[in-house]
Amino acid sequence: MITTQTESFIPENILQAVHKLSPTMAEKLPFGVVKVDDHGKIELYNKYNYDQFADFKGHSVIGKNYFTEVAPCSNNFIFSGRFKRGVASNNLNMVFDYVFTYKLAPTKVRVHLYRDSIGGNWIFVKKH
Amino acid sequence: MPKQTAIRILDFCSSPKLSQALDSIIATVNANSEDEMVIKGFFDTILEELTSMSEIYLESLYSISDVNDIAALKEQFQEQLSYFWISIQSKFIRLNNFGNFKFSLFQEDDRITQAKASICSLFLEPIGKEIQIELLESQLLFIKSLLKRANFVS
Repeated sequence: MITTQTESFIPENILQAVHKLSPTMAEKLPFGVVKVDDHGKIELYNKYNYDQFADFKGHSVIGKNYFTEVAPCSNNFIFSGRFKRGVASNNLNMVFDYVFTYKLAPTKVRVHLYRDSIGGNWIFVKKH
Repeated sequence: MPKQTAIRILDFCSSPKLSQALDSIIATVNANSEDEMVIKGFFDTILEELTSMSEIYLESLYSISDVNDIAALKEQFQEQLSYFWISIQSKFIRLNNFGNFKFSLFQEDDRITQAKASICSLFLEPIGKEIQIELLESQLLFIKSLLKRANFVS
């Protein structure tokens, strides 16, 4: 059975004001926050992501492509495909469960893809 | 230098960090003993092939004296390593995507497939660092031509 309704972990007040989210504010959040451009190039990547998922030994991932360079396990129709379709239709607000496997023991996460009111693209990730 | 490449690969294959990573994967997926055997078997198959490839290359170096044969041997090793990397990379993508297809769309938690994908990912960068990208590119073009051939013949 395909389940399409999954509950988000993002408080609604944060989601509605996410276009104002600064890197400093993002650092304090208890979930992963990634802001990317329409092609997936990273503009913001918070500490939660570095601590839980990234393996860049102190190097910044800003400017790298999230789907192909940072999290290649997300580069498929389920994850990056949904992102691309959402960006193309200017309508992206999707929550789903996923398993990260790249250089990690299989790690179950909940993902929330979101495009804000001024066209900023957000990838929120929280470990189960 | 291919000789140093083979030595680095053997060092990687025997490193405690690699076996610790495997243990972590097995523990994370909470594998029962049967599943653990399957996962370890998958890991061992990759490890044995990679180790064997490197050891045979190094042993052969010591038994060959002709300069042309040495050059051919080096080329053969680089080619083998590069195709091996392509196969592991393909396995990673395929297993990761299949595992997530089942989990994300059907809530089916296929831990063995997920574990296998993680195992593949352990090998990608250590081997990838030793690959000559021009060689890889020519191999990918060759694989593409094989696909064209398959379609042409049928």
